[in-house]
Amino acid sequence: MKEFKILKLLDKISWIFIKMGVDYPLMRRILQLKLVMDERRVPTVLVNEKKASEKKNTFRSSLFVYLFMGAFIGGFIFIPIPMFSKMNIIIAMLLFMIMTTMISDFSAVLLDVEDKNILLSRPVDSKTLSAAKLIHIINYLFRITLSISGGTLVCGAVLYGVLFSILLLIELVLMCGLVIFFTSVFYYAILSFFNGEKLKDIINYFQIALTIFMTIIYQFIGRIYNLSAISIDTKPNSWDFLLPTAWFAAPFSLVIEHNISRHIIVLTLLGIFIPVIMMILYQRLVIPHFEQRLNKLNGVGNTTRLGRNLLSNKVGQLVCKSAQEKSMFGFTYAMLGNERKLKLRIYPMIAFAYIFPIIFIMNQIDFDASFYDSIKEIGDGLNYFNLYYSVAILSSLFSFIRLSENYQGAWIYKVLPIDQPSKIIKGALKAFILKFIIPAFLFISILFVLLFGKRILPDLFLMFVNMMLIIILSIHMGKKELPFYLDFQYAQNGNNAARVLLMFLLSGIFAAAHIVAILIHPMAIYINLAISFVIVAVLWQVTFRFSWKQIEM
Amino acid sequence: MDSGKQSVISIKDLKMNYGSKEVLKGINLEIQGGEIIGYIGPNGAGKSTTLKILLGLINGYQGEIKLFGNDINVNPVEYKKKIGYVPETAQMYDTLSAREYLTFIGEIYGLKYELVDYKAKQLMKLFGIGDAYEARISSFSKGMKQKVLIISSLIHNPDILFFDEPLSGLDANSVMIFKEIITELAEQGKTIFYSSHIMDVVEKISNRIILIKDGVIVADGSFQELQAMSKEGSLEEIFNQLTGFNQYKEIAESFISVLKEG
Repeated sequence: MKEFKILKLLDKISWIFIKMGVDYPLMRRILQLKLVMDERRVPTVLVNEKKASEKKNTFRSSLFVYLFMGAFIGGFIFIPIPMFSKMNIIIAMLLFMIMTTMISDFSAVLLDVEDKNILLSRPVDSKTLSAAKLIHIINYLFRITLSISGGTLVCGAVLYGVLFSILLLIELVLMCGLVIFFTSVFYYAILSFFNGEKLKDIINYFQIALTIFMTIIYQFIGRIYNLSAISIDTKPNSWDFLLPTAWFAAPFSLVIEHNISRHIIVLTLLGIFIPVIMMILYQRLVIPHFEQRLNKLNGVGNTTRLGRNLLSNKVGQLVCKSAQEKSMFGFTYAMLGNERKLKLRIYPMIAFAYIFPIIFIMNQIDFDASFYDSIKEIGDGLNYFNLYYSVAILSSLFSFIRLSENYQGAWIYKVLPIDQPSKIIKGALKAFILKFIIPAFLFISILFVLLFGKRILPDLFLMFVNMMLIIILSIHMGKKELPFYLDFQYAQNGNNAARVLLMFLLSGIFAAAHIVAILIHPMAIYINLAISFVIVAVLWQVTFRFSWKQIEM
Repeated sequence: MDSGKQSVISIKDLKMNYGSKEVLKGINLEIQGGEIIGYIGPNGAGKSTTLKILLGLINGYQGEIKLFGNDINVNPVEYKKKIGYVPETAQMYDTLSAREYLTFIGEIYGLKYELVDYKAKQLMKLFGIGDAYEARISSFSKGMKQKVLIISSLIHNPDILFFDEPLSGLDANSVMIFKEIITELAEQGKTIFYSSHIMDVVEKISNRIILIKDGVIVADGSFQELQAMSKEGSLEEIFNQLTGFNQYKEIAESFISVLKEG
């Protein structure tokens, strides 16, 4: 089996483990196995990338992504604001990144009960197992932390000397300790009140948040550097004592700027003692109880969400004609709520659908003129056409429905006596539109009405109808695929990018028609609306007429 | 039981609670080497809990458990070297290949890599899945996974074997091989603790059957002794009688009448 560098490093300090009463060779073996298994796992950061080849270490490529992000964070060093405020911002970002990565990618390690079930019936003592687990987490967490803070370490050294980097390195160790402690306590608290399924849901939301955050950072990076223009309150505040970022920012003011005010010294001491105390508490109190709570993860969740199901059933009754379509509607609606991996793909896209038009509009804001004036100027213009970006992104979402974690369950379509496969797709499409598209479009429409006024209401209607048109058109042109039948591993990104591109093209065409209508005559938009509506109706009839033979399975 | 021999497994007044729910209400058992114990009982009777306590997977029980004459709490690592376990659910590190997984397990038991590698490969071959030795377990069928689990429980030649539904997913031929292996192992003096819901198999292979219900032992003896006790034919019927379950016909009829409704 493969030899890892970290194992060789551990060999050098193996006496520490032996002194602690850990069976070192066994711990090493377990760790080696875990590292091999991790190489076969894809981290969240790379979820949008192409599936890496077997041999390639996907973790290493994710480190580059972190390094890249870290470079931007490091750039903050050069902003001319007081050290304490500056480090507050940098450490807040570092902590946020470390925390979300820990939750999204290493929860699996922290919450692993498989280990217990497989190894504890064998001659492995729990001390050795816990040690292997802790080293496993620390190994990754520290490497990720180093990548994220790499930019800051280098930039800081350039600007303030090596002392800065040494100080930051020491603090990073403390920060990692704090993060492990907080995550465990957080999970412990959730598991005390809820079941394991709820915890998995919460972790899923964190993964979604991380994916969105990473993308936004890329988009906003240019803008963030303008922050220097915003004045930052530099007076010492008493709430600083509650902020971990302030504890970790204070030593820089103390050591680099020789600021020996009482405020800074107290914060520095907090930054040293609190993580140390937390780590001791973690070792003594949290680990023993935590392991017991973890047993809950073995159990079966029994949350029933009857209320929501009833509502979706009623809507299903309204919008679906045949009984099979209705049941497909209910099935899809329930599946979309429960498929965690699918949500991990869909929610970030919805977030982009919100973010992109807003970013483009923000780019129009003239920061030299007064904010109110520039908003007013935008509100009078045609900038709401940026919504067609949202239309394009939202239209591309439906194709995700073919993916599922439980793709093997798709045998039911073949076994069940369904005469027309179009009923399956119709029901699924309606549920999908109701579950994701309508809420997403409604939300961003409200934002745009606030910005542009009621005058754009007819335009919004036209956009919605055009979006339906694009969705049905793409079903008509594309492969006829059933919902939830394909494993994620076959969903290559290239495919999806091409699809999104096509959606942008179609949206562009319809947006052009829309603009032409507006420019011809104020009433022409209603003609456009009528035409689009008729096309939707006709296309609907034409599209949903395929047989089982045309279905891709 | 026979005096003179030392019990391999000795359980005295074992009790276990999950919160306010009492799962085991005082189990007493003495098991000698060479016995094949059929451990049966209805769902939720406490079978898996007993097994998990014996394996050290669950703590917090009351009572005394000795394996090979030593309390299982005193030096858990020592006794675990001499036991093997096939769990009910096929939990394995299935991103690994069979080779990686089995050699790892073997090494935990203190075997040399080359030896485990050789043994594991031979055993896989004998089970008819030698070709899959280098393949990832996640790609295996249910029966293949079960075979890997069985091999991983036996590879260190343990003295006590705990089997929880070991036959699930196995084809008839493999079942015959497995039954033969169990019988031979018992003849060599190994103890087999066999928990299952398939009464026909338990009836045929066990030389002692223990039936638990609601956390207490309600029957303990050979199949013949149980037959004499309850005056019933098959183990299935004895099981029904001893667990106080005799309305299966009525339930089946109601079930069918519900199906016909609407």
